[in-house]
Amino acid sequence: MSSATLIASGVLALVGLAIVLWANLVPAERLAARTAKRVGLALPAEPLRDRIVRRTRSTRRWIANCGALGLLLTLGGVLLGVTAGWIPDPEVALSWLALGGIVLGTAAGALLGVLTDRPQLDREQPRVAHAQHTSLRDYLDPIELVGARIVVALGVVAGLTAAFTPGAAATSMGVTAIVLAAVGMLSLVVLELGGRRIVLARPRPAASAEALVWDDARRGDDLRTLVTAPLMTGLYAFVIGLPALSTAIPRTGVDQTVALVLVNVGFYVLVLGLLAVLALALARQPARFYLRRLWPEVAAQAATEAQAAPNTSHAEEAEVRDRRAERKSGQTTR
Amino acid sequence: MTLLTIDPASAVPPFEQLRVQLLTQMQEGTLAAGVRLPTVRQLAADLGIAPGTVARTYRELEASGAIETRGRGGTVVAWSRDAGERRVQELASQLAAAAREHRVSPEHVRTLLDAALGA
Repeated sequence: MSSATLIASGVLALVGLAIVLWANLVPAERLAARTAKRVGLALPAEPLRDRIVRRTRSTRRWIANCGALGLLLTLGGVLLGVTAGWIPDPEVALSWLALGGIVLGTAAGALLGVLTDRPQLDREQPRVAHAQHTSLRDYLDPIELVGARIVVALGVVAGLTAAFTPGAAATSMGVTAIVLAAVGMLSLVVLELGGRRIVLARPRPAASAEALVWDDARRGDDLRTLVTAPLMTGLYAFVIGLPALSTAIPRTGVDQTVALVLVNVGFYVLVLGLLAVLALALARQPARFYLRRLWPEVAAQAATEAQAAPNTSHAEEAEVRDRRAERKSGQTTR
Repeated sequence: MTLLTIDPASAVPPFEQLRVQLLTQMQEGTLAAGVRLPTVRQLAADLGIAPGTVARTYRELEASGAIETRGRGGTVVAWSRDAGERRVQELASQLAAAAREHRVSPEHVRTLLDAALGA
């Protein structure tokens, strides 16, 4: 095993440690405030606030710890593969597989966070529930949900091509593409089954509409953690499997030069397409998708408040300026 | 979003609270025809009540034609003004048939109906 592999493994292990330390040391209140901002809600008053803060801390810890565990297990697997001679060039495979391990670990962590959460039900208090059936489509933006399925399908095509192209399966890139395609499929199954049967099916006792909207926010956040895994691993599998595709195309009778041009053009079109989708996804604020879909009136109110916020801050700034000016003029008079 | 609330302090039994709220939302149009309702188990778990209570509500609403069960498609809202009118027409025919069968005069049936409507 080369020293470069050991150094890369050490750096990745430190990244895992940093993730765990971050999730366990950052104050829970700050995590909850960050979550509230992302999901477009204000942190509520006690006692709901305390429950949200505790749940946020618990989820973050599960996600971070399982993500770090996924990373360490991947590192161990890669190092074992290197020792066994399955991965000839580990420097290439290591970082990609490590990222795959992290996202699969975080998805498992999100599910464990939901499973270990014990919602409390006060039988003396009124209870509120949705009158309509809710599904994954109510919590995940179609860009994410449909995108994950498409990207995993592309990754599987690339992985299968790598697996059945003579020579490709023996290379580090080929092995990485195959493993990532398999992880992509696994994480898509985790999303489809775990998302429906665990995240959405768990009871959601809520004593008020505010508690219910926060519950939806938490569910949306958990499902977004789950959808990230197939999105990323499928994409990595496709990108890593592209060289295998480029070697497979000439076998279909297409000229090798044409095949290379096709693969290169395809790659750049893919990158441009991905950037466009990413920009669109960010502009649509996918973390607040559940709000627009399930709570349109709350989303409208949040939008109005967001529009008013800059005016408020301008007014505050103006007030500060006025006070400074008053102080200055007072000093001059004296 | 349409919500359902169960008040444990209320004298009205939970199944009736649910039935009235669902029917009101259907009549107001907030629960439109074709909208899928939560499963019995899901709604019971969310509201902290027995699945039998939700099942009874759904059964009564189904009997009145307000909702229908579509196998894998789940329980969906079937209530509409037209459907309501059709059902009243159907019941009126049954009432007329019962009145003829038991030799109750049309005048007396009208009186009974007026009293029922007045209630």
